[in-house]
Amino acid sequence: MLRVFGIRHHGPGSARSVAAALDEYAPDVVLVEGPPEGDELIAIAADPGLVPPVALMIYEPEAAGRFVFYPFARFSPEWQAIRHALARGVPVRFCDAPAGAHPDFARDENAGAEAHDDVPREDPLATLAAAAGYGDAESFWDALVEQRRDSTALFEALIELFAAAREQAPSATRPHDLAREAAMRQVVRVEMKAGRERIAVVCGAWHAPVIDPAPFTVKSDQELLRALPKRKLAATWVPWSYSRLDMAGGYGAGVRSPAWYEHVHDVREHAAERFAVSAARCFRDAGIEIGPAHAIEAARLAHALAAMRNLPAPGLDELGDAIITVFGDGDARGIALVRETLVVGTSLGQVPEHVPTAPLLADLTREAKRLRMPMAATEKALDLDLREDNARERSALLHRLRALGVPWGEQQRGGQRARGTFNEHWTLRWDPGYVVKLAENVRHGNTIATATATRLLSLARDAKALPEVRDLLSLALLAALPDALPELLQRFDALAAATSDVPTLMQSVPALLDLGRYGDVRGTDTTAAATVATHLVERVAIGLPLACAGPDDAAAATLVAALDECDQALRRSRHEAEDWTAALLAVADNTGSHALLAGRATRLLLDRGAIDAADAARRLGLALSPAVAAMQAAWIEGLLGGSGLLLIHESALLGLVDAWLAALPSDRFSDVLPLLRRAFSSFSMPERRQIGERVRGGVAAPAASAVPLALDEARVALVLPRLLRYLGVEPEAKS
Amino acid sequence: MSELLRKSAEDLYASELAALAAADTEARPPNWKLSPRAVVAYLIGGEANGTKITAKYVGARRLMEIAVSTLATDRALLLLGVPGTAKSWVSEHLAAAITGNSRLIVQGTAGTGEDAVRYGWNYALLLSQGPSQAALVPSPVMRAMQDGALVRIEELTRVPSDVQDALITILSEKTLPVPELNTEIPASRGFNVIATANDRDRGVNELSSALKRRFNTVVLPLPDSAEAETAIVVQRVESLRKQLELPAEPPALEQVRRLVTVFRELRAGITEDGRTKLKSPSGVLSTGEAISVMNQGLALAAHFGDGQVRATDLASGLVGAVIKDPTQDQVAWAEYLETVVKERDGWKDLYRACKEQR
Repeated sequence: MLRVFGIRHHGPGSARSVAAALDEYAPDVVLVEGPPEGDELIAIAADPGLVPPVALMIYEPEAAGRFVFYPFARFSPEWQAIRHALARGVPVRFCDAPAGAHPDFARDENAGAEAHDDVPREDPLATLAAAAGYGDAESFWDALVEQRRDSTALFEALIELFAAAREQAPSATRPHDLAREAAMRQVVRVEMKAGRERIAVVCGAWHAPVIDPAPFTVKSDQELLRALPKRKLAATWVPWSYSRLDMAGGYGAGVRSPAWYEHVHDVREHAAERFAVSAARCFRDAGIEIGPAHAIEAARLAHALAAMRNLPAPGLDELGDAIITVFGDGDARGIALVRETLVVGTSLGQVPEHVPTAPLLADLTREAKRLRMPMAATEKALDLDLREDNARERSALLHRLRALGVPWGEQQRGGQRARGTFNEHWTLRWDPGYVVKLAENVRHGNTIATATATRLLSLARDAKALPEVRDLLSLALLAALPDALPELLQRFDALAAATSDVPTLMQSVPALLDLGRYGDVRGTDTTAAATVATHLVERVAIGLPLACAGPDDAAAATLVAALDECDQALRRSRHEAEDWTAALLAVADNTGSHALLAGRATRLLLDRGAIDAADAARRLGLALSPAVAAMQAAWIEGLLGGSGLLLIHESALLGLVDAWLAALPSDRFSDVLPLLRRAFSSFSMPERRQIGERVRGGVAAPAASAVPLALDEARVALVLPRLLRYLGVEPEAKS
Repeated sequence: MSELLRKSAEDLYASELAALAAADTEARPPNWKLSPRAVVAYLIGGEANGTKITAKYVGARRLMEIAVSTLATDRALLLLGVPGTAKSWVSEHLAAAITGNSRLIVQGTAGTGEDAVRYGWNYALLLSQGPSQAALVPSPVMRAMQDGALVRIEELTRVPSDVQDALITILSEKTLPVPELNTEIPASRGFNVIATANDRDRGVNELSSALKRRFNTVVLPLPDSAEAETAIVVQRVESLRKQLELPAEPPALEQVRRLVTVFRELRAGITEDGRTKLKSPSGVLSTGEAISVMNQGLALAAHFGDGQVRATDLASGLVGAVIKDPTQDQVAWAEYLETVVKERDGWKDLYRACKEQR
């Protein structure tokens, strides 16, 4: 004997009816619409560690990250059927055609698309719905099946209904679905031959009329199945979330309100009242005073609306309307308060540890466990001190995942830029959707590390511009992928050779030089990076004088910034910089250089000690002697470059600037004033005050510190040892 | 033809109501003339026993379902919205369909006193005979309670707070105490209140939370699409034209569409194609105002024009509707004229007509 239970995937009413009907029927085998690749995994559903929502992931282990998901929630009829069978020790298996046979599975660009249809919402059912006086097929089905309390004889009626619908529109069933139905019949035949006496089939209602193999011949079914492509696939359970249940998947039914479905499935009595009470609590949590009286009124209104709309019980629409009207004072925004918790839901599934997992996910789970980083859906801050091994590995893992498009951790920039410190601040939040992302990366490798390296290299090969590869290099370093560095550096060098834009080259210098510094912290060998960096600095040095000649003001401003960063990076890394100094000198000497850049080059040379203060004063004098006032001001801006300290401490320079300023004719002075103001505005308040005081006291006057201090040797000796300790110098052994 | 300037809804649509009542087989709440579903059908439009039911409310059906369901429970209904979103219109038709009488009405003003909500006294009788039932002058609310009818309170937020509070007992206890006579007037089944309030007046006399709790609030929005809004204007203008017996032709759909477009664009502060940002004038520019601009145009065309509504007939009403604040709105309107109306194909006549108005 065979009984077919037509259901809607993720239909809570269907789930309830199936559970009740199976209890009554007591089958000796249960066949569930689903991919046979997952047969071996069904038994795991009995494990209390497997908590829905979960999804059966069918994937191609060898190649190209193709996969498909079959999600199950507690209110899925399939889940109920499986649990029924497992609880009673009745054999249960999937009876659909292999997942690998589905045309969508084969499509590259659409990997992960849905593999079989829900109850078709095409015309045939809509026609029946209209005949029964319903606006659309959806509400017809809801009223007919999902909202039904008493389900005796429901499934027989459904078979008749869909037989009629199929008859009306023979073309509504896609060819692939015909093959799948043939596959289901074949499984039924096998079970019949095995002598089963009470076979139960749980499948989409659309297929229900054609499951009984009697009217079909084995030959025609085999014919249908022969055409199906064969693929070697693997399967596993993965945790799922309610928010992803509406994602296209194996049972691609768009479930937009999983939490509500769960509510309908779990709560048999007073569903509307309970929902109204939960909603009231949500409002109260948000600080809106909604009392029990409101909940009573909302439930009453929902019932009244349901009656008006001819529904057996209030649905989500009715409750939503009631909540908006009673709780939200008619403001539809109020419903947003209950959406996340009561409509969509925040439930996350769990999968026991012993379940075979997709390679990348397995690797990640292993790593996360080793590094003690729980994959939780709630947001959690993580501070890492990179001097510790564990922290370094955690950081590398997070960076690798980011490179794979799995932003489990978001790096937070603190007050200081992360570079140059030993700390990284992360915010962790795991999303089950990352499972999909990981699956997509399977083609890159079987472990997180290899997959990331492969992906970075393939990105580098496609990169057209230097900054892209530069970023990849930094990422490779952060992700602790030393093996990827040589090839990335090679690629970088090749692109740098082809790049003639000096600012772009200069902007890459800091990143590349920092590679070396980071290497120290992270224990990566970066001699190769140092070589490439040397090449890069050479290229910049060659191009710099030319680049500084004759750019417009805006370009000069960007160049100045690049110049500063480049110089800072060089100083930080204690890089041999003879070429660089020579290039700066050339810029400073070249009368064709933009005044801003020439001024800045002079300043950088002074800071490096490549020229002395007297030389700088001479250069200032020269720069200020020609006629064009605007250029003079730009030169000064370049020289002073954001700090007044130079003027405070080099009285010769201050004297020169002061003399130049005092000598300006009044009309020229008003021309220069805005530019000077700009140059001085970047100074800090105390700096400006000190400069002012120096000028007021007469520039030529030497600094007061020239007066010798009368020191009491004995008292100084008391302070010195402590002072030396503060400075980190061990006091010499007392002589 | 009747001498009445404006007939009440239950008279104007008597045939529709009768047809609906005849076709209505479903259960009616006590003292209701129609079942809730038939009331929704009356508002949304449709057909009953071959009689065409015109749509009274063009908009979301679910709002009307909520409104009617609210009245079917014993909660009072508060219709909220900016001016001109058909609040009073819906309330009138609800009362007409449910109790067959839309005339029990309290117009809320700053001067509305308690006697408008509870009862007053016939002072001659009161002085001569002392307090008695006969000396009591019932308010519309009190009469509705006695008859089990719907009473409408317009502009509830303009009513002073102490008078609003008088409603609380009525709505929660469903009875009206008369302490002077040591008695009370209990409400018959079917009694309920439909109040309307203006979104723009929020805070004038904000409802106390105790009173608010007795109301279910339905917010009537401005129409979603230009098509829907055009349909509303055409329908209302047409019915008024018939009622006023204006000798003009019904306005061309094109004119209505232009008017609605102007209103929508200025209201939203952006052109319908989403390309140009506009200044929004201070007025609400509701559908209700569009209707009155069209009516004015219709009257102008009938009496001073050739019977066809032309751009010149619309311009004066349009300018008056847009420019509520003589300085700011003037700027917004001038900008709109120059940047949008002038450029648009086929709007030359409107541009010229509006320029002449200034």
